[in-house]
Amino acid sequence: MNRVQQAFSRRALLNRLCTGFGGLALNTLLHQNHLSALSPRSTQLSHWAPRAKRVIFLFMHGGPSHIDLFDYKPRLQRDSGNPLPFNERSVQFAARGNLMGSPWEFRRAGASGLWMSKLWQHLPKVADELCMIHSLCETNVAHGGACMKLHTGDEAFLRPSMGAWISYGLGTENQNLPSFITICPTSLHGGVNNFGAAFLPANHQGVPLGTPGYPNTLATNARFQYMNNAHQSPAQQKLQIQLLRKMHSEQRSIDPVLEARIRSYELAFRMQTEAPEATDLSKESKATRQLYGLDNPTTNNFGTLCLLARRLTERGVRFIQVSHAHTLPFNNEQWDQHSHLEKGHEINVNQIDRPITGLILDLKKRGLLDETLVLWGGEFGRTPTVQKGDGPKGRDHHPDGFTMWMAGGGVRGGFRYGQTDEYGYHAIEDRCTIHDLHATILHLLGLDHTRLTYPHAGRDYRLTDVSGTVAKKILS
Amino acid sequence: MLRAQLISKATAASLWLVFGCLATPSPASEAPQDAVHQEPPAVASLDFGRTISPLISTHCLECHGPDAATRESGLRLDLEASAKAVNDSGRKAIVPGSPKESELIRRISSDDPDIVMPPPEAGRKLSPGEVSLFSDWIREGASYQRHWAFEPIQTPELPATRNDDWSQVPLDTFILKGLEDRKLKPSAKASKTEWIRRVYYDLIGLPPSPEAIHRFENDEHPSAYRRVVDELLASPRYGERWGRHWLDVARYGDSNGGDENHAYPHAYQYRNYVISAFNRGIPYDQFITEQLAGDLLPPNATPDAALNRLRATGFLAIGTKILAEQDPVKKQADTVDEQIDTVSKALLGVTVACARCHDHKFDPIPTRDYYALAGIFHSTRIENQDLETDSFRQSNGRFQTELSEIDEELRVHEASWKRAQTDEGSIRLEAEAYSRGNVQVDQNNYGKGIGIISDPGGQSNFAEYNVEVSPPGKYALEIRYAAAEPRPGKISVDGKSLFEDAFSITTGGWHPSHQAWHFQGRLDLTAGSHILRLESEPLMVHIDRIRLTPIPENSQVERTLTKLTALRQQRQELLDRRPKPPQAMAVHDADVRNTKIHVRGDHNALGEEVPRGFLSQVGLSESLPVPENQSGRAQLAKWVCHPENPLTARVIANRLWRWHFGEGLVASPDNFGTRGSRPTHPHLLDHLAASLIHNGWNLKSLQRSIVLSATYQLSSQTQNPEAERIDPNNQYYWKRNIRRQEAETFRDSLLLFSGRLSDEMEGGRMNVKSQDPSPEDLEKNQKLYEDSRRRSVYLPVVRSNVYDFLTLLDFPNAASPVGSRSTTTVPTQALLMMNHEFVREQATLIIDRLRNEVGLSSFENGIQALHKLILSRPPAEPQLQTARDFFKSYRSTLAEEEAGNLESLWIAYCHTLIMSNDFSYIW
Repeated sequence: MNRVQQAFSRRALLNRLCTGFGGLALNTLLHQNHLSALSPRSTQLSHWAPRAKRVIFLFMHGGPSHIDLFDYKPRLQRDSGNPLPFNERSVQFAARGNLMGSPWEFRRAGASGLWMSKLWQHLPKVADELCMIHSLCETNVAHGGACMKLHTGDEAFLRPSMGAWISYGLGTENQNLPSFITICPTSLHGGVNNFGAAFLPANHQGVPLGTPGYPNTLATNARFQYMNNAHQSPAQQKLQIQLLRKMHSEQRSIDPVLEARIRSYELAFRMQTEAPEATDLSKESKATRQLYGLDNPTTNNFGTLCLLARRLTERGVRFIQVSHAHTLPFNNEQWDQHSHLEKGHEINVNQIDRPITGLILDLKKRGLLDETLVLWGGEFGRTPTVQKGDGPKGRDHHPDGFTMWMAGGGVRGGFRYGQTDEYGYHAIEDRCTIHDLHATILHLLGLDHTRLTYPHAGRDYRLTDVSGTVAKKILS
Repeated sequence: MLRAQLISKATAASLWLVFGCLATPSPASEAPQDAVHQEPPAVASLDFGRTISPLISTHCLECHGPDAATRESGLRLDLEASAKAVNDSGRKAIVPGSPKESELIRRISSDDPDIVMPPPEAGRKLSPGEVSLFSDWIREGASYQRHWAFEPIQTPELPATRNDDWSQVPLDTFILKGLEDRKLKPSAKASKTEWIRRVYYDLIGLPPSPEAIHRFENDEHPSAYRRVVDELLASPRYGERWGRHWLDVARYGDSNGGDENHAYPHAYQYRNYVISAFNRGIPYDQFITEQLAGDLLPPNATPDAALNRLRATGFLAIGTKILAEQDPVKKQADTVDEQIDTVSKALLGVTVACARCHDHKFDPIPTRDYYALAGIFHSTRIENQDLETDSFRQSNGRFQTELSEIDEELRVHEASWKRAQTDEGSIRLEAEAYSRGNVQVDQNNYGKGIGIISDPGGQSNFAEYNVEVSPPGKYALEIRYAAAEPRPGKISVDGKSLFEDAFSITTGGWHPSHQAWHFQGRLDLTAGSHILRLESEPLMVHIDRIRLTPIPENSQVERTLTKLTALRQQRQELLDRRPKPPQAMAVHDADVRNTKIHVRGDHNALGEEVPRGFLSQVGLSESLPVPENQSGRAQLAKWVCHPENPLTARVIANRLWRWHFGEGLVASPDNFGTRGSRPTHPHLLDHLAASLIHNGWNLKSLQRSIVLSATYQLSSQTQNPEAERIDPNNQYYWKRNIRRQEAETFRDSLLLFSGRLSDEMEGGRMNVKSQDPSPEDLEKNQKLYEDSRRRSVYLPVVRSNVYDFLTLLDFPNAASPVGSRSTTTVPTQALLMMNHEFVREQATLIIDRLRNEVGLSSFENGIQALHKLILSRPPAEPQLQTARDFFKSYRSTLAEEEAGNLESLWIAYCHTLIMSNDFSYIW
């Protein structure tokens, strides 16, 4: 057993008695069991020096169209209206017609000259921070399977989510907050499984800020559950906790789990004080609020979510997911433009463009961008062909070549990784599966995806199953 | 002893092996313990299964194991013959008696990266301690033994023990022997109060009432304990408690989980079946057989039993599924995989699903075995099926009687009308002469000589006729048709739908001889052109002709037609109320065939076809051939429940033990494979398994002996530093382990205390929204959960959205079998206890109840009653003082106008008792 494995099994041991969200708060209680060497700030569990300490995942539910946003295809524009010159994939979601060029012009942005469609008004300002991955490729054409694959690494069975794995691998930086928080998640397409812990210890599951729902909860209702008591004051609750400790001390049994349970009450009481402060935006300056677009009704909601993400970042939360997962009047899921591509994508980009740009600028200004990995993307891209049907034109689901981007912690800014063919159909260079993406994220966090394992049902499980290659070219 | 000294202190993992602990670190088995300071028990000789096999399994089998695809050098270290033979590299891995000549030792102890095993890229090296274990084993002859779980179940003799007085039932002797071997003594017996609370929670999941405790404490009769146990085993609450345990294993859920989370509206039938099966005490082999093959059992059962068998097959149907998977072949393969995973873990304690893509890395389960089982499930379909229950039969009987009464009356009136009416002025249409339509004209078979129209196969059938009407007025519409079964349709005129229950009366057959005129209704038509349209979906009766006859005003004909029209209306209303049978989510055989191996699990890469069958490693003395025209589930059930199957009885005996003691004799109840735990008491496990088979698989009788055992009655309240040192995990049962309440017992107890717990059984699924819930839907769901008074087992298990009160308290994830729930202690639980409205509400209701029943004017009486109710015991004097102090400090927090409000003090105190360890643990 090498050092890392030992550390992990100690972790497993601690998790059994965990009282902290991150799982290591019982340190003092257990120090007689030769465990005091293990610091609660457990970044020492890393397999190598981490480039990023935490992740903000900006999840675009529904499948943003790579060829209308970032993946510029002149050939597609030229051949618009002609049939796709090769066969479509065998498993499809809906019926499709001929090629459809993007309704938007593309232009270059930043010193690096990354391509972006004209939909983006603000993002070009941070183009040189972005690392475009144009070669994402997967197989599942339905939202459910694709969302689960993206979040958990498996499209059919219940597995721990990527945030849970990261919490498990790195522990927490703040014992009074959860290590994995998902802000206003959707209840669709895997729902809570997409931020669940499955067989990992329960304290690694994502804690929702705002009830999971469809459409997702608005930012105004982004609150932790059970942090408020309508009947009792904090002083009165404190008396109850003190009574619990008194009753405990009168007990005959000395089992450490009983002490752990009393401590969990004491910790919960402290959290009740800390969590509202973490989500309180009233102290943010006017300039900051403007930066995220809180002053504008179009960007207010998503801007608030992004600002919450930054506050949680500052407080040591390891994995923060922000979901852009509302509905549109003409499409069920936010980015799912089977029809109304023009209208839908315009609304969507307008909602997120300023908040996302603001988030990156703000993180950078505060010196947090270097140690925070920002990931942007959805469960798949969209077809270069038009979807058959009446009404304004749209595109169908497309998993075999689509774009996500990263920024910050350890990735090359202003860089393009991989590419799709001339029509944006198949990823043809540096193909990057979700397992590869996960392996790369873990790598940036200082974790070897082949060694981040957990024993369950007779074997060791990984986020990346038996696959995954780190996309080394994108590392800065 | 010598061996232990050879091992460096640093290699704690390998020491655990010597002491009989787990080889594979798993969180469940890694309780805090300081193994280094443990005295090793005397070890006579190295146990292959316990010590060496786990090391081989962990470090070697990935490349030298059952999986032919990844095997290197043709060497299998899990098979004695291969390990001791000359392999592809020209050497022998193991030369018995000679570590020096054994290639294995050379490889695992080498520092040369080109030689060392496991290879450097595996990232792990054997410790010197582990290497010396291999050396010792080879020196002693390198004997191989099959993995214990696949060895036949023995009937061990009762071991001799020094202390003859302690044991109450045979199983105690095995426990005592284990204790004596380790110089441990059992702790004292639990107090009667502790025992009765323990056994109540254990058997029915609810605490005893203060009266029941009082009765038992004063019952000095020697059979007092037994009387309590018998009463509890006979209580319907028993099935609710133990049924829920099984539902953990059956991964019970009321929605598909996964992607879309559609509701399973009929899954509850399976849940109710399980509860009733436990209450009826049906033998375990029958229980399993019904769940695997209830639909295939010989039809010699009572109607009720037959329905139960159908409900039972829900076991195979209720798993998680990805319903939006667009590739039907993959969808089916994933469904089958889920069934194999559940069946193998739940019933056999093996992880067969590992063999979907490759031969099992650690257990003797080749890919062929997986696809032998897969063939059985590929030949099985999941479908909702009607349940002809008694109450359905009765209401349907009433319905049929009423219907035939109306039909008879219709016939009488039609006959009288036919007698009265004349053909004068009628408009006649041949059905086949339609103006527009998509129906099929038949002049030969059913239409021989007359010409009819009917459907060409299932579709939306229609036929339209242009009709010229003159003069205007009322017309009777009649259709001549033949129908052996009802295929009702619709008639509309000029686009307006007039009759929704047209040509619905049967005529006795399909042939021309069955053709008859039937009155359809009255039409009020203007003069001129009209369009008459007949529709029917998916099938259509055989229509020959259509006739419109003018109805003279104020005639007998008109009166008869009025009556006929009323009767038609009545008939339609009755049909709208047609009773529907309840349905079960069940399975049946379909498309029976063998399956081809999916190479590396890929359903697009098909390999060799495998005949349907079972695990090759578990051979029986009799063969159970799968009939060509059946899926093989009936044979699978026979094979699983065969007394020679070494897994089934051990697995269920261990599950019972786990649920009674909080830890199994095998700590991994769903995995008895080489990567699972080994039994702490192998003889005891076999004793329990063998007696279970011997007693006709009677679970209740095994449970009776468990809860009446001296082992079960041990006190948890004991201080024994010596025992703590020797056996810190209490693996040998020198005391009782305390256990935290499970989610359901917690909630049910509170409802019981507040006087709100309903004893309603059966019943359907609570109507919560599972698919695409909005935040408002979720609030509504939450309200439904919080208002429910039913026991927790009846709350729906909406996958991904189980009632949070339950999930936060470690309610299992219904994705795969859970034989051992985890118990976590996280602050979210504490927040739930402090702030969840349900807890507060119960505390308030409990205080209301006590005020009414015992009065709260006396502080002491109130506290007494509250402690007895919630903690099952009265408070001692220091606790009374603590309560007094709390009341005093809490009162000082109240605003002046609130200061006299004792209510809030009582509620706060009661709430704290609910949060306390005293209540939350079973001692």
